[in-house]
Amino acid sequence: MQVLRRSALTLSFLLPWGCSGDDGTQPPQTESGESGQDLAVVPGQKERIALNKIAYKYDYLDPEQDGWNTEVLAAKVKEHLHRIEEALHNPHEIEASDLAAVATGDFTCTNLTGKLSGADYDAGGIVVVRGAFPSGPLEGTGAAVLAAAVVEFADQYTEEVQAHFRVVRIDAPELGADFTTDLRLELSGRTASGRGQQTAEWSCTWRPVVGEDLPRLAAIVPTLHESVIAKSETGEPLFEDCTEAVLAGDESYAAQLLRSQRDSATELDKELGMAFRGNFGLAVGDVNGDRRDDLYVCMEGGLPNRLYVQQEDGTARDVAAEAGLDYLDRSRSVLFVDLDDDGDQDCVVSTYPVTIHENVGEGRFERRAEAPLANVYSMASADFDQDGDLDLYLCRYNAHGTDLPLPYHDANNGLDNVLLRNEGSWKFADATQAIGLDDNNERFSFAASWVDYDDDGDLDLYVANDYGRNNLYKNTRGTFHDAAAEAGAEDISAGMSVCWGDANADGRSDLYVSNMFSPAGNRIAFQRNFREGDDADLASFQRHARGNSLFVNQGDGTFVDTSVDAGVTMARWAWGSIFSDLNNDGLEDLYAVNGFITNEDTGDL
Amino acid sequence: MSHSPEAGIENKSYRDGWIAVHRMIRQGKSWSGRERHSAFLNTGGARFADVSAVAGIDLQADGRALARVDWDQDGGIDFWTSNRNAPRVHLFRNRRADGNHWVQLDLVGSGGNRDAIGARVEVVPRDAAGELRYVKTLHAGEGFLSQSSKTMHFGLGAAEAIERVIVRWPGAGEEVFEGVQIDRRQVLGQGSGAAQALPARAVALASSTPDAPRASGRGRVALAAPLPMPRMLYAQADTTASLVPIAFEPGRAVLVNLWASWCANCRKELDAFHEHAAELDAAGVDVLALSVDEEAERPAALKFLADLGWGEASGWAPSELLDVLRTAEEEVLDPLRELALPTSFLLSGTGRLVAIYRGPVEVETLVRDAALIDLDALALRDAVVPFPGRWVGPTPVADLLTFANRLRDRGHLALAADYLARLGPRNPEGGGDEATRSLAQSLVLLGADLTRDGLLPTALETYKRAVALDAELALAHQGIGIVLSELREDARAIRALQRARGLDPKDARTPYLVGVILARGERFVEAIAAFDQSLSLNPKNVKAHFNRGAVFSKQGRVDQAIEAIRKARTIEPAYLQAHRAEAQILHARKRLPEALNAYRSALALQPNHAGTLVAFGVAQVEIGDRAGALRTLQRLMPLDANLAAQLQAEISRVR
Repeated sequence: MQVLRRSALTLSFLLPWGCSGDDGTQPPQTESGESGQDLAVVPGQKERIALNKIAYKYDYLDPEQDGWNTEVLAAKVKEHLHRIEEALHNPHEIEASDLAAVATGDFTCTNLTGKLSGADYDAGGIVVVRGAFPSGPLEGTGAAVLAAAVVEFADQYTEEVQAHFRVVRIDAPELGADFTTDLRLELSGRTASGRGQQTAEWSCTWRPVVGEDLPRLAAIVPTLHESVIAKSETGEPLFEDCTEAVLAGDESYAAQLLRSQRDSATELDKELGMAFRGNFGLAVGDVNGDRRDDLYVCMEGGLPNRLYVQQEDGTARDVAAEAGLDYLDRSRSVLFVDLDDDGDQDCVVSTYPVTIHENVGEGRFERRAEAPLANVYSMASADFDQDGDLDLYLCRYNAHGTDLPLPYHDANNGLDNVLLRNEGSWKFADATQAIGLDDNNERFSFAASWVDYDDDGDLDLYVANDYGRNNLYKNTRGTFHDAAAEAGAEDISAGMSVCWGDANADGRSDLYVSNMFSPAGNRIAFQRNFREGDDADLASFQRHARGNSLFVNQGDGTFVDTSVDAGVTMARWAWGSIFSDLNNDGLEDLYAVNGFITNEDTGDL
Repeated sequence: MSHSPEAGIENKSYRDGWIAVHRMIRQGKSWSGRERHSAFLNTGGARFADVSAVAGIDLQADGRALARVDWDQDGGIDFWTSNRNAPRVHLFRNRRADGNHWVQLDLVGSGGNRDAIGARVEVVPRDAAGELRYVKTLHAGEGFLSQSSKTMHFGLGAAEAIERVIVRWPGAGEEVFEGVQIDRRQVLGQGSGAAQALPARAVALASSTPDAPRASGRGRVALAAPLPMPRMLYAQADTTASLVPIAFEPGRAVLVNLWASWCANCRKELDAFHEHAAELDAAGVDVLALSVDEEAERPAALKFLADLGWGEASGWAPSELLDVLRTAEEEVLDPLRELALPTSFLLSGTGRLVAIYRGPVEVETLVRDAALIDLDALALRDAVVPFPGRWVGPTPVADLLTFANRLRDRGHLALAADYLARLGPRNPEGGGDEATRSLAQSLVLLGADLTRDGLLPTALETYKRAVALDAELALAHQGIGIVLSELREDARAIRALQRARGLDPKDARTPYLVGVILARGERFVEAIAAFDQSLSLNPKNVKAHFNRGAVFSKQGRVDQAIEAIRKARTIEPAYLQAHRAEAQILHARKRLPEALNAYRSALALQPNHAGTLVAFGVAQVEIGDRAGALRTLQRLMPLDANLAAQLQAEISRVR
């Protein structure tokens, strides 16, 4: 606190000894900003004064600065990895000399594809093969053996090769010594029989070399190799992008949907609720009872939400204005459910206030109720009390003015979530407290979903919370308590979304939760000097950056976390994720969308 | 991502970390960007394979929502996703390469909820060989901000027919449906016992790769809540270059145009303004052309205006004005950018910011936007958005407080104080008690910054305004105490601090500050009592321990002084001043062995501190360690020649 420092200086005048200022000055901060493509900028307008107070934090977050040994090493390792990526792109042209600068003379590695023993999965044109490890060593040493290993790895691809390394973890005791990295390699391309992709995980040893800036690769010990081939004569992937076929005929597509959030945010007053980090959802439902699903798209403040009604030919037309649902208020999510039991889909939009509409037929909606609840994220509906009508659960995030999660890894200062009980006649009552859903209800909640996980005939509720533990509200004849801890499903991390599905096809509902897998976060969390002398905190930081979680229902009210063995953690910085059978084989697959902020700057943190 | 704070404590470093993260993002830094969406294929129930690439749904966009639907009703699950990037949504269509069987079921409840949300459905294929079960629950809301189709979709692999479907209806028992057809969509009505088939559909959708046009970087933003601006001074384009405020006249708008003589877009734009001067005048817009040219380029700027025959006002934009305008843009837009050239700011006759134009602006646009000034809040909100639509929430309010805080954080303390002065005693933009409290707290923070920069009268004024808003705000009274103490009005300062203490008896800082003032006034006994009070509230305040020691030392109570100072350095071992002070007290009392040890610990923390080295050397001389003193001299010589000479004289003198 400035005040305190000044007062201490005041006293020093009367002391018999001098007292020099002990606060270091902060170095000037420079950074790049976006500028218009053809516009000059006012000279001397680089960020300056406003940032002095937090400049030290900029430095702190800069991987190149002191303290982040792992980030400095990661940057160096990446230079070599780019060379290997290039080699993987052209495996038929690779020569040992291309990798001469990468490997040490005594470089060794074991067989990267592992011991093979038949397919792990072979159905509907998809073949999955996994190698077993440990595998035997390859003959020879140095760049030649590295080149040979890489060729073997990549020579099945004919074109469209994509190779990408991720540095998942670095164990770096000190600069100047050998260190190891855990790498994940994602490789894909066209093959003779269709389309293929490989996922590999390697533990690599790197050795600093006197007189060289970059350390050299001394050994690779592979720990995972998984190869997938999707057979296809044309080589096309399983899915295709049909966005334009459906939407481009509507004028809103070019005018509104083809503009990114950031671009829209450069032309709209943020007081309207415009933000370019924003999280905006969508719902699929049949709003007009024609047995075709329609699409509602939520938008940030200042842009209208769109209701795309599907036509007979599969294209869609925006009718939000005619329907009475073209809200310009910031709307994060929407639900279509039959709230008055008349057989059509009514509509709830998480504007502020939350608006609840009756479907009055002929494609029109009329607002029947409002709930003055701010900052609502996901919503989930169910008849929790089995009185025959659908109730609403609304997740909320930070409280106004308190945007700091405290503490970071287990924040308990969020905004309370609300259960609105349907009282009939378009009346909704806040029943949160009355039914026990106020238990552990001050979290930064992003998403919720209902299911009868304990098979007792009523619906229970899982809530995914950012910055900490999640809730599993067990329903006992209409009252709830948070059973997440006793069920083993707290999943203390950055919860973004939740879905239920039967992952192991045993008839019970399992749980998949999206979290944040941050490569930088993972590396930084593992670095030994991140949190000195606080093992409990360190563990929670590491867990925070592990990625998505799969909890398998044991049938006795508890779950087992099988995420790592199941191979479903690495969905990057994930948001929405759902169970879905991608190939109709009867098993629930997973799809997760991800990526936090892609800006102009490419030096991702 | 950042340091975690202790539970429940607002940690400044932690808060600053978040501020830095948010600013980096606003400034265009990527954060876990360019990530590809992930798909995992279930390879048997226990393990999944990453199939993101072969599935072709590994979109490299910042994905958010995700909904499942068989949009084209061909028996394969498609996905709608939303993301931050353009286009804002994607439909990924399943190309149905699998050749497997499936069934789709629309549930209609009766008795319970009609949507049958919460129903648990099991499909039992005929002659099912394996142990796999096909069970799903119908959800309304799952994933993130998403709702998927209510049509339940089951992949059935190689199964050729369906034996039965068992539905556990919400709140009711199980119902078995027989005769459900495979590879079809059917309706299951509660209590009907029979499936009703829906007609098949054939839809052909072409695939393409959407490509969004790159944004131009130019644009206009009109404010939904025009922002009152602080004082804006510009330099006149005459020989005096004296600073004058931008003048406003009710009913006339001012367009502040930033330009430079070397900027072609700017010259073209000024040319157009000049050509259409009559239209602008008729629309009530006065242009003020402010050049950002450096000194050397100014003659060229003047020549350009003269050649043009520019008849409107002109001048130079000083850096304070640029900062104010930049801060205003930061207040209006979420992305943070450098000010472009040209940029123009449309201000109303009452000095409120109405619109910002990045890049050249058409006269036609200005004429249209001038009409925004007369609109009421509701009409204005509708006029500033690019598409029509409806609103349900309240109209936005200009956030003057945040704007003032931004000015403060940019170091424009006097401007911020002046701006905040317009807000009191109550925020004219409304907001009630909470807003008043926020204003008072902002004033306190501003007061602290003003005090730090030595702007004491303004600081005092600012704290007093905080007290006027919230008489019980202890930190405001504390601030007044600090300023008065700086002004050497000790009696009044102590009274203010006592008031602060009455309001917040738990703040250890208040008695500490009282102690400092009393010590300065040589009221040592009372000072010690005040430090004791502070330490009883916060025993770890090293400065209180240290200053307590200083007072004891003044009183000649050496042992107590040393004890207090040692407490300070026990709590904070790297507290250099404490080590030095201890050494000097011991030295003055000729407790030389102890003094030497204390000097050594001080030097261990800062080996090259000349002042400590010279004192250390003198103590070595005094104790008779001439060799040691010479070694110290050698260390000192490259650091400070004068002090080295003094030590050398000391050594020679003893010889």
